Amino acid sequence: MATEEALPPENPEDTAVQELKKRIADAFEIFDHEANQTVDVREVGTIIRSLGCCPTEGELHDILKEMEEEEPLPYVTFDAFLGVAMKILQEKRYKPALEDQLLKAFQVLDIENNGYLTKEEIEKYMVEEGEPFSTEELEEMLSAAIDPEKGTVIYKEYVPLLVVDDAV
Amino acid sequence: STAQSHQQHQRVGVAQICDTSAKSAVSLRSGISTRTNEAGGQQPASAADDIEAEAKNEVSLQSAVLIQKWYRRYKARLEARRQTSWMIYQSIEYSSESSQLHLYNFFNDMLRLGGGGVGGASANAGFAERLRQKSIEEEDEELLEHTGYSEMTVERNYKGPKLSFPLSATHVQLMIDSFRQGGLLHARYLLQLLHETRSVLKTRQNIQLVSSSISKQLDLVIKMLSLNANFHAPILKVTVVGDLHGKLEDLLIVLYKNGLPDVTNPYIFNGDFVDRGPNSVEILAILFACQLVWPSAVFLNRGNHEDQVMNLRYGFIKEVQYKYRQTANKLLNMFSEVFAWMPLATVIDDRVFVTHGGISDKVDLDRVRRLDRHRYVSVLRPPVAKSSDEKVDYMEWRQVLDLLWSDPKAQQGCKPNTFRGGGCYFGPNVTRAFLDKYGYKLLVRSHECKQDGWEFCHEDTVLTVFSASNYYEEGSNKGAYVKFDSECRPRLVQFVASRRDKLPKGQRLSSVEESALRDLRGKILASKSELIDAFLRLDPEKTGAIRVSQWCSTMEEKLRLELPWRTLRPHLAQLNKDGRLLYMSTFQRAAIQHRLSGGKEMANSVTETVYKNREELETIFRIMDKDNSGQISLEEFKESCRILCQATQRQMTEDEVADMAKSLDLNSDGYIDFNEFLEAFRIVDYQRQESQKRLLGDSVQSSVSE
Repeated sequence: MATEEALPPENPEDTAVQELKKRIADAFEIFDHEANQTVDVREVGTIIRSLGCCPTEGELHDILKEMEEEEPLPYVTFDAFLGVAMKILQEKRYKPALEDQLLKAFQVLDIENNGYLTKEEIEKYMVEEGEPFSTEELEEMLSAAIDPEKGTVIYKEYVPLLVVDDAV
Repeated sequence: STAQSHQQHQRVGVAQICDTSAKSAVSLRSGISTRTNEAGGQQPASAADDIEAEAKNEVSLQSAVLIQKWYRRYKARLEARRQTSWMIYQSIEYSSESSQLHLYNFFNDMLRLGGGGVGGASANAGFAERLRQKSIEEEDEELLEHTGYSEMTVERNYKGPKLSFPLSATHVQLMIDSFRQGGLLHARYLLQLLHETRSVLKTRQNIQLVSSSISKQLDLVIKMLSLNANFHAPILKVTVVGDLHGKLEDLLIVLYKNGLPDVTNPYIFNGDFVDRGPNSVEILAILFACQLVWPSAVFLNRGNHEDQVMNLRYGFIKEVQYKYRQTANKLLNMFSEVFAWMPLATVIDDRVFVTHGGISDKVDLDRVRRLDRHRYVSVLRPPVAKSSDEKVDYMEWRQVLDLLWSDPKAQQGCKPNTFRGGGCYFGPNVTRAFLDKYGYKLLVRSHECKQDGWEFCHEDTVLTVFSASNYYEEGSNKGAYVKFDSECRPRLVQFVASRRDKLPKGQRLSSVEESALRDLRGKILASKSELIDAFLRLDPEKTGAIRVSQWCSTMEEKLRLELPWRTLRPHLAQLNKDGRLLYMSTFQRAAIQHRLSGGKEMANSVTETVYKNREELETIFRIMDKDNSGQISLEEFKESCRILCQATQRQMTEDEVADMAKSLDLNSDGYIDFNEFLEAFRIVDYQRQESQKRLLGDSVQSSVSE
């Protein structure tokens, strides 16, 4: 890879597109374990989310449909991924909610306004409603969220932990 | 249908994602109707209540979905960070191995040219001679003469495990208990253990055979002796353990979970017992003792680290010197002997081929069976020719190198392994051809760290098993071992050696990540001058800023580490308000210092050259160090630096080297302890210093005010 020497003045639009492409390529590279420009189809969701999008599982299913060519394969190629990812990011689809919206979401579930949710309530909502958590996901969330002394999830304290700031 | 949505409890593939989304659409609606029915068994009094209830449920469902998708995004970002740290560790590790091999190629050239070459006719003759001496196989009598133990006595206050030969299972347990408490095996016992081990290994074939069923002969005898005519000899499971790299705890976990070896519980230990971790000696002692006590149940395969040349750099020699001081030399000679006698592969039931690295398209097992493995004191060079007309057999050398150094890859075909610098990358077709040719069903190998401790590839025809958990850092990976039943079906067992209490995932990740970034910053600092040169060339108008893409490609090119630089950028360098990269910020956070120079930065180029190539320098020091004492003279130090300059094509002036040497001559007798010299390099992290000062400052303030 040759280092670029002094370049002609850049068209800001082109640069933005190039930068975006490279961001996507980097994120893809992290999961391209075999270094052969493909990733396991099960990692596509992780990659899209790591780029800052926040789709639901259902929306993820649609994204995958867009990426697949004819028949579903166990892997996705970079080319197929890039096209769809570019559109998603340029259109700013699947924007994540704001932190206080997340807090409000917990408050809604806290019907009695206790300021906390019990383990059973979390379990009920996360496993029976919406797009259910797997046992693994539930266990992971509980292990981090539960206050060990009270056995409850004080969501006001938990929400900030979920805000992963990776300074991108 | 809410019951149906319970079903999705495992990792989902595309097809299952389909189902989930379909069901989630359904459950959103059904959820509403179910809850309405569940509302305390009361029927809603009016249509208005109905609508209100439905609206409430809709909102709570939306909230659930919001939390769920947020959580999944949180996890995805953690996963991406974890993978990135992993990539950093692996690429630094392989880069180090690759430069090790380049160094060794340089040595090989030096030897071939009879010590002349680059530095001039006889300039390197002394060093070349030392090199040569380290590669000659010793004859038995000579060996015994140099490594005898009969004259050694064990002190009365010796607290370590007491052995007597022949060894028994009790001795093995004694050693395990003692090592667990930090005990050290006396050199006298260790030497005898090594001599006995050598004798046993000499009787083994290059490719060992192990069977999962007690032989038919024995079966018959048992039947005859037993009253039960339907008696069947027990079917054994053969266990394969991967890389241990000096991590005693992992070996102890395996032996605890899976039992000590014995006739009914055979083990194959697949190499890389030493280097990197702190207890290489203890691991070898336990494995060798087990082999002596249960010879039909312990099979050792040589790994690429059971190699004197690798040990010069990766810690085994240092460990032996530190633990055994005066006897280190004898011990190292014996270890080297024993490594050379280790078999190259083991086959289970004629169906599973087990070797440390892998294969290549040139592997010829008949060739492998016939070669004299003992001549490969180091696998990194062909055997030293006994006479000048003996030609080096490159084809034979390749056999050994490929078995111990290769890696499987997804691409078809077979290419030289440039990452590591030795062995091949072999593709699925190479595996297929190999297995078909010899009638095997599976290739089991180690050599590569895997996050789960194991990994299948080539459509399940290759299994990697790696047994050193937390290899890069606490929390980086699990270890695993595999058991084969009589049908050669594999069962994998994972484990983690962990001292700390289980931290929440996010916190554990932080420490793995911080450690990886620290290592990466070290590498960046080591190439500071080179990088600054390149950045300045890209910034002819001296604005101090360049494009992010230019920074990324420069980093990749100069450091030769294939990493997602754009993703890592926020941790390494800063942008100005126009989004351009301030390249000098790459070096602001930390600096290299040498403790012995009184905390001031040494002349930049010298510190940098030495720090960047400290592993190569260490290798050269150890070759210089004739008697394995850890010390070399001032002259030898200067010569080592000169050789380093030739090998890496870097420049250090005579004066710079002399200055550095003088400032380090700690012992007044003119000798330098090179371990101390190398360990005294450290990276000062200014950002951490500042935040620590602030923390300390705060605590000082508060104690004052109290």
